[in-house]
Amino acid sequence: MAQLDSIENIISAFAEFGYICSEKIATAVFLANALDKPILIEGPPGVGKTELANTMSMVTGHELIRLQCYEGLDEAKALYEWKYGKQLLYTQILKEKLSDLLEGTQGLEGAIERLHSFGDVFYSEKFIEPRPLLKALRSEAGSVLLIDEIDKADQEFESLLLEVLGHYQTSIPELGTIKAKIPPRVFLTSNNTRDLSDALKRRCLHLYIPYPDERLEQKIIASRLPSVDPELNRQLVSFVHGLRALDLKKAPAISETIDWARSLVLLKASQLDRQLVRDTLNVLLKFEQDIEAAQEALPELLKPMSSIGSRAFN
Amino acid sequence: MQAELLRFMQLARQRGVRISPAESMDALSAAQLVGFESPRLLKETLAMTLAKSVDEEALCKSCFDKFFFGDATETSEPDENTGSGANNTQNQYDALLQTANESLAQALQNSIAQALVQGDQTEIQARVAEALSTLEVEKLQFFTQKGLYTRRLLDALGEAPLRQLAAQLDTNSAESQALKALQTELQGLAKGAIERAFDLNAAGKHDELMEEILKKSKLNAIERRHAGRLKGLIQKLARKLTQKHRKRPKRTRRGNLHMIKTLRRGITHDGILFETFWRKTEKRKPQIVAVCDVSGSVAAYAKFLLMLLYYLQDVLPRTRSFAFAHDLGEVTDLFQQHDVEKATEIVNWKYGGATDYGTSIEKLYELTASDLNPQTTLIILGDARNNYGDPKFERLQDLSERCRRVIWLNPEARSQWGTGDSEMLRYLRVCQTAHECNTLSQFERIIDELMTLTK
Repeated sequence: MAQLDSIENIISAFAEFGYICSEKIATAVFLANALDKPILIEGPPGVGKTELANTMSMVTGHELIRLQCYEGLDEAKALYEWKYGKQLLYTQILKEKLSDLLEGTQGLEGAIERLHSFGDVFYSEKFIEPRPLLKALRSEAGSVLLIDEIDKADQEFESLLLEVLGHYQTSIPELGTIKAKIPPRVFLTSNNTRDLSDALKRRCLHLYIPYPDERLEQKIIASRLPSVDPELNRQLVSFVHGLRALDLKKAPAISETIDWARSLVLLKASQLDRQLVRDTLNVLLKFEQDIEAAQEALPELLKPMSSIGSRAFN
Repeated sequence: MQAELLRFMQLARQRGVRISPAESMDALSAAQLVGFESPRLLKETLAMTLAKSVDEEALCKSCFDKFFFGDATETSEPDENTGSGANNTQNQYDALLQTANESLAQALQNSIAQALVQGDQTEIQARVAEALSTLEVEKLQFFTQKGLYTRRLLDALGEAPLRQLAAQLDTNSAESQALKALQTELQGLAKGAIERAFDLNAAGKHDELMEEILKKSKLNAIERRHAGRLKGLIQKLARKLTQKHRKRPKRTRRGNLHMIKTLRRGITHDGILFETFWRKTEKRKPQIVAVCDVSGSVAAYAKFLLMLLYYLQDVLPRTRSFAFAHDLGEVTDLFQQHDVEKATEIVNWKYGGATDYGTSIEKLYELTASDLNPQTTLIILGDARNNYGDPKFERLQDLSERCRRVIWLNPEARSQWGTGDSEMLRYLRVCQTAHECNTLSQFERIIDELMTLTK
């Protein structure tokens, strides 16, 4: 397992797995480790919020447990559930055993007394079906828990998380409190479709990941696609940055830049030209209006590159 | 350093970042971990632990710069020209250094004056900071206190003996000239320091205080120049109310046990009722009809009432808004299409004039009667001054019978209800509740109650 005891080490350890993080992100990871706090990651879609948790799991070698949030997500799907089927089956099987067990008891009261002495066998650890949150708490070797798109879940669900996030424990009425042996590293991601409650935010480190600057994005592309030509890399990243400055419905994120770079490499392009961009724009932009808007701005966006290109031809 | 960080958090709090004690403890331990060598790293760390949103993060960072580098940027400027600057001061204060006057020499020994004469910037800063810490700067909250605090700071710096000496010395002597220059510099220094302290300390508090005052003062008494601030305040209030009443817990929608369905499903489990089914309670859909008087008699309030109505429509989605004076008309669409200023302007222009409650109530009946149901709340904002016209009391009664409740919000004081041409007492009889409502905090309370009721 890589050493994550300083910010520089975190940057290099993450880079080994192809995640180029800024100093800010590394600081957040460092603090989360040192303070045992969850990180709440916000930012536009596609800047690597989920990927951060994935990489963390690869770097530390801990199991990644993912909980995808959606409207209507509840305790039974997130925390634990009783194995009703198994309970039912066992009651059916044990029906015959009942008379053996109650042999020799005096009257109804005696029988009930005897039954009481068996305890709550049906509500014990054996009949519990752990869901992601409980799984993360019970993990023996430590784990990385990713609670994805928490803003999609209902507000009531946030309250359910508070105990888990604050103390790494949860209370099951029938069993008592279950405390994590090794606190899991928790990452929560949010796309900000609604405001999260202050109680939840207070328990987390707040990390906002913006779109990266050109240098960082070039580094990310180079790390993901070593085969890309450095000049093409520079051109495509600066083109994408130009696009982000336009008023678009959905600006292209890092993941889209990577996809586009990959397609350009497949097309064996060595530099951007108008035809090529026009043909592959649909990789970057997901809305028809956006593509139209971008095509109008194409000459403007490609200007700095074409001047370099023409010089290269001469 | 810990005290410094705590003061920084105090500042951030005043600027609007909500920081709880638990968070400040987290921030302190986080700061300890990353150390204080790199300001950039410390800034990120504090922003991360203290902020809860992107806005707050930016706020934190700007506070950090202001708090920790507000001084540095200013000191670095003279640093750049220390060479020439030091020489100048040397010349200027030469007369003081070579003075034969014993009392003067003595006075210069024990104070910041020495540092000033020698042009020792670090020593000066340290002295000022030290003197500042002896004053209770936290109590500096109003700009009117600045003069007092500057004086106190000068005293703490030991300026008093210099002043006395200056009075004794011959005004034409070189020593006196130099001493004057020294005093001016010292005063400038103290003024700057107090200015900065005020900036850090009181600016936020001043805002808080203003808001508190505005909330409690009568809407027609608020000066025009505070209108901008008031608008922000109303918006804040509306946001707070929406936040509070946005979503009801789902659990409340669960009604009684649906026995038939539960039994039926139980058959597959050998008659054991494992899965339970619950009836859903009927979801009540609250509906609000809000009517606002925009006539001359409530002109001072009308703007705010409309503004409130505007935001109310944001908060409560199923709201139909009407405005009236001599005639009544629906303004719901208007509010949806325009921003608050434009909308209130149009409404004033369209419906403003002398009040005629009778006709307006008649018109309201025509427009809404078919839409009213036992889930509707009718809110009337107005002073009920009808210019001695026909109040059409029966029509309001009809309306009242058709809806769940009628709430009248009157900007006039309760004691004035029913005086002169006010029909309030008569209308009061068909209203479930009537409130005097002329300050923001009153309005906030009423809307809060209303929203709890309409749930």
